[in-house]
Amino acid sequence: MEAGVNKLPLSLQVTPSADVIWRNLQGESVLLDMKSGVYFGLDAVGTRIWTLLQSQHDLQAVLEELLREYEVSEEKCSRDLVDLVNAMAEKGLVQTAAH
Amino acid sequence: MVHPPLRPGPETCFYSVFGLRVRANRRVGVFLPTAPGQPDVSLCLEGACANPFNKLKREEWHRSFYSDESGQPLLQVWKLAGGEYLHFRYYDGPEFFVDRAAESVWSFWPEQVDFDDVLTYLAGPFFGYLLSLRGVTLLHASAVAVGDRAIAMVGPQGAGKSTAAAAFALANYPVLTDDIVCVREHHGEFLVQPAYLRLCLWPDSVEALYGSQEALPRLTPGWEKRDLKLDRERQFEDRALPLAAVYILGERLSANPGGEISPLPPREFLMDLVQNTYANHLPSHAQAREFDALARLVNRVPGRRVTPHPSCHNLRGLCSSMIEDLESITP
Repeated sequence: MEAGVNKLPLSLQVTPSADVIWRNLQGESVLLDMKSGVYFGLDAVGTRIWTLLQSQHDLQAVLEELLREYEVSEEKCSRDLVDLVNAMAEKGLVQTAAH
Repeated sequence: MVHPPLRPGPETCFYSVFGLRVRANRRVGVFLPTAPGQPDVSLCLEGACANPFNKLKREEWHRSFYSDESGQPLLQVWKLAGGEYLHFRYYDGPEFFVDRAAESVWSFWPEQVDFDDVLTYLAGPFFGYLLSLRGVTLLHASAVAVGDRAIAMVGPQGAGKSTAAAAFALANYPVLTDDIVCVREHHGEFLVQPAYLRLCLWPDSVEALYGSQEALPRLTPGWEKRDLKLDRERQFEDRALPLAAVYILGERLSANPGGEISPLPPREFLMDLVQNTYANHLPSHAQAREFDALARLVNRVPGRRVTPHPSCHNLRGLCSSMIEDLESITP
């Protein structure tokens, strides 16, 4: 899968940082990176992605699960997923590694 | 190990402050008197006496971002004797030493500093630090009683928390606390603890409430803030009350004299709360504990965003709007 306009390709392993705790608030969530003290909010879809990443680190597999659950084009879903993972990686909330 | 004694002072007084029994060795006029008993916190207010803590090994733990004109940080904090004590020193003289358990406090200040100046820290930011050290969840907020329930008004400095609390007091809704809301969980409720018998107001707030900046005396000669002593019978609530709603005070942009109030989705509510906790430089385990407590609060207590009118002369309308909103969301 190509990287497209975003930095991260889908052929990545994405692992939530062990320093991050999070709380689900009626379908949305807030994350706290205990190392940096930074908070990060996730809407409902972001929360679902974060939840999937707790047990599934293969980004392609996460995309496939999202496509099963949501009525959305693969292009948009892929772009939104990579954007979110990008943003979380920049803040140190996830680590990424090549497959 | 040095264990500086709690020397007796002119009096031994007992107070109830944020649900803690505080024993002090002199009168503290803004604290609520209570019956003698085993104290939770002992306060040794020493003044310009020899300071035994100066002999202890120290390492700097925190310094405030802001400094005075000479470049001295407004607040510096050191760990003493490997963490057995913390030393808080404010730029204009008052110092506080607190033990690891946050049960004993000693305060020293130079001769040229009045006790009223010390009180602006003791019944202010220092007590907030003390409560944080004791693991209590704090909000940068004021709270008033509406019947048998409390509402909290949250916001950064200048948002209007104290002014709104004063407006409620003048409308016969007693004040629980100003600037620091201490919440303790009890059987699924969040109880707001009563604090000091006063509000501290900027001159323009006094003018909006009373018609003149000179209507209230200054807290201390060297500071602009004014001292509103709360009438214990009518304007101060001495019971811990369950928190019924939290109002986040936003920018004063509403065209409506009573302001506008809208529900806060839980995620936004929690993000607002974590930005408005009282002592923001906590160690990570304490920050995690605070985060947990605030997440539970958000899941149980309604949050509201408030957009006040720009004019501070519409305070009564703002208070009425909050009361009406509270009545609409709680049985």
